[in-house]
Amino acid sequence: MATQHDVDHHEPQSFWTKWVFSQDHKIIGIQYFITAALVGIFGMVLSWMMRLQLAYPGTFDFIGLNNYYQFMTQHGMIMVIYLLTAILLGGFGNYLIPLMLGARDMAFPFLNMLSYWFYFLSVVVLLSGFFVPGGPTGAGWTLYPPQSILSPGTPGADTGIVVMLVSLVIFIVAATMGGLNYVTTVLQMRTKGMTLMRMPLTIWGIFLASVIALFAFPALFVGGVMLALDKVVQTSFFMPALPGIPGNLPYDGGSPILFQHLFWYFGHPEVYIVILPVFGIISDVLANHARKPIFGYNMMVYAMAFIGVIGFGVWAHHMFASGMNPFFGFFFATTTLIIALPSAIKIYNWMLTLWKGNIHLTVPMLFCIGFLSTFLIGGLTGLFLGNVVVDLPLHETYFVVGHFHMVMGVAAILGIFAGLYHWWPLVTGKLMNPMLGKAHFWLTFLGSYLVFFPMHHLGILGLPRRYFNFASVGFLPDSVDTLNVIITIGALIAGFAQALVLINMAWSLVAGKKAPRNPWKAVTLEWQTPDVPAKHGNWGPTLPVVHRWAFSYSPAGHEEDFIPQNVPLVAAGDGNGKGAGGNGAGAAGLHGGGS
Amino acid sequence: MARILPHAELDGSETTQVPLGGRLGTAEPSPPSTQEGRPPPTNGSNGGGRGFGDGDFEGREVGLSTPAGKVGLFLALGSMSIIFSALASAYIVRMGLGGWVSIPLIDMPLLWINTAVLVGTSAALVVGWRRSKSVGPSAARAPTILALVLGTAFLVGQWFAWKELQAAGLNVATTPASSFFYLITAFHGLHIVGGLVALGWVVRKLGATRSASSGVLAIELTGIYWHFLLVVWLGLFGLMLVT
Repeated sequence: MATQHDVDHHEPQSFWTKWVFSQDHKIIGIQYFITAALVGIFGMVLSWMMRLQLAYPGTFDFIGLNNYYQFMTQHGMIMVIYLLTAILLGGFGNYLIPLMLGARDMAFPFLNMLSYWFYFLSVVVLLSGFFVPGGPTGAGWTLYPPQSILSPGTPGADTGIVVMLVSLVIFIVAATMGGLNYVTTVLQMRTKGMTLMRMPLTIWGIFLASVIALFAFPALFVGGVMLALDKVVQTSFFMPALPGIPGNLPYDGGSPILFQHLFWYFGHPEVYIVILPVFGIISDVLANHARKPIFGYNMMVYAMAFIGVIGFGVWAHHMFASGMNPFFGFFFATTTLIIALPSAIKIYNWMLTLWKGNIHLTVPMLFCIGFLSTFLIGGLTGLFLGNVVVDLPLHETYFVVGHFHMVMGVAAILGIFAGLYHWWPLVTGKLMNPMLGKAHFWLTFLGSYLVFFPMHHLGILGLPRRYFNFASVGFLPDSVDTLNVIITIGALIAGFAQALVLINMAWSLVAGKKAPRNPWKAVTLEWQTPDVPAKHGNWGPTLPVVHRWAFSYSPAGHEEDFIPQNVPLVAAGDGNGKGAGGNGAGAAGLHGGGS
Repeated sequence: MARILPHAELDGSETTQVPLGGRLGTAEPSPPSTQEGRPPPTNGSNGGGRGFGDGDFEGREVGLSTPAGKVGLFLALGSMSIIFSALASAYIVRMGLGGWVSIPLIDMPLLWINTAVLVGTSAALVVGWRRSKSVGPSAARAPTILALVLGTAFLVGQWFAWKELQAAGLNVATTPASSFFYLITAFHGLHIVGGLVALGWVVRKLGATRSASSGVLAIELTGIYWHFLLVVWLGLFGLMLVT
């Protein structure tokens, strides 16, 4: 049990150690969140550039052929890696893991600080790509050789690609340090009574995603280094002989497909690194705002673990169009479709949690329900694409763009917003404006649908993806142009709607009402700290003790409709419910059962 | 003294609003009940309190008894083994493609000497770890310094192996096999550098008066890391040798 010494001895004093080179998980979480959000806004602006070109080709001077590919590549890379992965593991993970588990901090606080600053450096290197000769790489976020590193290849093939690879390598170092920390903290630092199967599902999601990250990122690391060597010292790992290309290139016998395998061995688990924490956030927030225990807690955990394991055996479904032995295609199609089972379990369990729940249509709840919709749509189109024969005609079309944006783009962003609105009072102690929040939700949700739903239709019409303009594509009906304009308008609406959440946050910080303790009447530990927002060390002199699972909502025979995890059973069962409900801040709540 | 509620009551009381038989995994959906004195169900279906050997309803000190550093180390080794497996599988795939010319590594005695030196490093650390347990951390200092010297010698030896290959006209980009040799030894060598830093830290730690247990743990963890690097080297060297 901690002593006063433990609480005090790391208390940072100076501005630099408290706010900049902080080892406090809460500060690091906020640093990750802000950095990722800023780079994410940049990524969103890049997507506008693409949309403006596709709706009004040739109208804008600042969007040329090369720029377009650079915008597309950087948009994809920024959104998947530097926004989603960083904000979910680094942002939510850092802030919530110790608080939800009743720990004072992460297992390795110094490593945690290093993790953020490596991430920051990777972002700086990434953005510096825009200032090198030739600009950043425009090879698509998959960086496939040979075109990504061949001089008459995609834009940025001389310098930009090397900058990109360096940035990725630094990011992987950051993610590895963070991942080691998150996993070790979950295994080691849980407070008394917090068994694994009493953990909130958010922690399960982040925990499993971190394990996946530890075992997936190394493949990208190796692939990235090999690609950089092919570029810089002209080895032939991935580069075949290129007889038609001028310049007497020394390449011989390498295999671009080998790179694709290394990339997607990382790339597919990467989507689960993004979506599992979102699963967890949605589960906790949904149950809280429906005032009901999550339906099938154990199955939710097993389903996430199953998705994480099977997720390592499906990667080649991204490569059906690259050509492979039909038996391989059959194998990877089968494993891909098997993922539908745990995903369906999760969808059903969320639905059944809502069923007859006491649903509060708060802003976080709206985002949760929005997530269910987009994740379901995106998941169903995934079933189409998992089949080789359906994938082949659709692979190079906007159907794929619509699919992955729905299932891991919009769904993940909606989950992040659910978490942001839900935990904002925890982090800042202030309330946000709910009307502004609802306006933000509807504009984001409907705007995103306007963008990505028609893309499925366009894909089936055969609209090729990655094209700068469609003038040369003869078979497209005129309606395609109309739809492209509509999609672009949707993208601008959904994009500008993000100003609402920024305004809301700023307004809340400056003039927002002080949040009551535990405003959502949540049972999980992060709301039960002595001070909200939690002070350094989180728990004051005594760590909390956990007596129940993370979903004690609407217990029978109880005045309040929730019992915090740290309320002893005696207090909860004493007949009149006193000392148990409230905010869990009473003596029984915080210190009961402590040794 | 207040009464402790049995499992069943909490289970019942927590699932009253779940109309479809409670959470999955409950053997028999128990009807909502606040009735006192019902015996706890054998499968212990309280809110997540079961599983992972937790029979005590009040909970217990959780977290593994293993030190955090050890858990972190094993996770890191898991992550590193993906790096080396990815290298090995890329090597095997690339072998079957064009332009592959094997390097007769078996004719390079230096590599065999280096391998022996790396085995010696591990052995020194085993001796150090045993001594630290039986005699005390300070007794492990000499073997640890020996390991530091041997580890450095391995790295220098690998450098000379590179020189030898270069003298034979095999540079990084000469053939795919030479590319892989440099790549694999560089990845391994970088991890060796990390191991040397750790060893230097352990030597300093053993010199300072610290608690016995932390000294033993430090040398144990460093030893595990070096054994891992030895196994990786034997595997990759073996692969490059036979192909």
